[in-house]
Amino acid sequence: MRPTESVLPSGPALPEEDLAAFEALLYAAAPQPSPELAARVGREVQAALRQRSSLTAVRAVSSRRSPRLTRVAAIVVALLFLAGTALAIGAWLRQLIQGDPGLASVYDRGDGVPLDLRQTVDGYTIAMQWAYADGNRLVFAFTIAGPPGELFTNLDAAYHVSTVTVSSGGDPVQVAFSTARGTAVEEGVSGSVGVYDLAGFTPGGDTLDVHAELYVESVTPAARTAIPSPQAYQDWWSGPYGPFVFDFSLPLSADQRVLAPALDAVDGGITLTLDRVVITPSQVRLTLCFADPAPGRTWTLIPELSAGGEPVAGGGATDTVPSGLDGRTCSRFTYNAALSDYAGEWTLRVSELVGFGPDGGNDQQRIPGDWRFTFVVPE
Amino acid sequence: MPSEPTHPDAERPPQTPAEWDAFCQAALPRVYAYIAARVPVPQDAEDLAAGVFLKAVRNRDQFNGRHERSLAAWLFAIARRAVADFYRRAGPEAEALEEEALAAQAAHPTPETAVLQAERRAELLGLIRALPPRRREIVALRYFGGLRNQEIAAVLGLGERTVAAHLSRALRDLHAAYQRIEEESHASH
Repeated sequence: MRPTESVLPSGPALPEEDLAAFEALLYAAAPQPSPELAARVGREVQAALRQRSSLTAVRAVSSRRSPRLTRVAAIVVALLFLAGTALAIGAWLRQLIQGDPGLASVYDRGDGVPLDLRQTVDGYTIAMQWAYADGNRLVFAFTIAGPPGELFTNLDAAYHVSTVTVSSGGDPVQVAFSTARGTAVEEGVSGSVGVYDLAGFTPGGDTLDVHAELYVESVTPAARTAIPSPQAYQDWWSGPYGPFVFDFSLPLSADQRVLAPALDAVDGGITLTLDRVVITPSQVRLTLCFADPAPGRTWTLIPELSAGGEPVAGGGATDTVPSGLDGRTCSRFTYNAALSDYAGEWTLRVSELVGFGPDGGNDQQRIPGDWRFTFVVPE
Repeated sequence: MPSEPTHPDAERPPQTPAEWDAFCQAALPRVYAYIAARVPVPQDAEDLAAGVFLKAVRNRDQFNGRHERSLAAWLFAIARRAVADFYRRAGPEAEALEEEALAAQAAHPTPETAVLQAERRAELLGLIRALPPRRREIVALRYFGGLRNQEIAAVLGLGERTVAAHLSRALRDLHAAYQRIEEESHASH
């Protein structure tokens, strides 16, 4: 793609015809990626999408922690507040979760717990302010502040190196990062919400113990406006800083309904099985299993969910999960919707199966159909 | 401007695996070319380009259309940071090693670079890499990344007029240097 605007706002230094010809040469000089790189990117991105929200319930082994982690004094505080406590975090958190109806609902109802935990490392302070957990998700909100008086263009959390482990009456397990959102709170302070996947975690009690080791990266003071030379890049981007270690406990919402309807729907000779439905205050997950219609492809489904006769928005994201049914693919659909109060008849309709071949998005096999599952969710 | 969701110039990240695939295939040539203008060893540039798309997938919820102006600007901000991290990890000696690699390529032209058109492209790429860092980055974002001045300004944290001024001077210098090479080439034949 070529921008069409003039590059010479104050009068051309080159005759226009020379400029056009020379720009054409510049465009043509672009190094080209190899076909192998295109295939590699396609493969790796699809794998990352599949893994993005799946739970990697890896046992947390204390020997994995570096000596540096143990040197940093962990803040070990357990603050347990009753549900319904009035929150005073400010508008930034509500703004961040506005697009997640399930999470916004539990926040508005006061189902989370306010926290007041702070740790400072290398002049940067993380303040853990709020957390919530149910059978599907662990969520916590925190602010990052830089040294006093300094402004920043970036103060981001480094989720790719941070680790979170949870326990509830048993051994700790590491939970997978799911999503995050961030915003500016005030000068020199940013706010973040981190969401972690609890769907594969089996609690042994009604309290969740959380151990979070967070890092701050992409620190850029606003004063750094000049582009550095290659030799000075290390002075441009700072971080990661940390770890910032937090231990806290919070109530694990008991409001969870798990259904195993084992319903089959058949169309065009293809059988889909609704294997599992998990409804928590912040999210609904449905697991559908089926035998691959054609081998060598990665299959996904196009779903529509309605509860009590009303269509459910705010979701549809899928990931592939291990199958309890031999030889079948299972897809899990996630709706960030507040449906814990919806009992009665629910309907899940699948309108299409889409199989991606090894060549990626342009290599699709699409199978339209009408697979419907109607099931009753108890009060 | 195209605005379909899978295009790099769209206003929101792709949503489905199919959209992601189309987005990556459309954006990869631009991202790779930008990185290759900054990191001359092809294997390093390929690794960094692949990492950019993985990071985009993992951080897709952090895209803020108001701040980054466009999805393309967000993607190139990730790419720019990846290059900075590369040099930060590798240390100053990496620059020298890569200059050696460039010199070796120039001393032993491949059959492809012996072709006139490929020679011209290699010469231009060499001239771009020899620009001062800020101008090199702006030229790479403009002609290899396909960004508008407004987007380049957002990626680099500069004013739009500053970007335009640098671009104008870089073009003038590049054109003059390229003409000198062409004249010397003709004279030697």
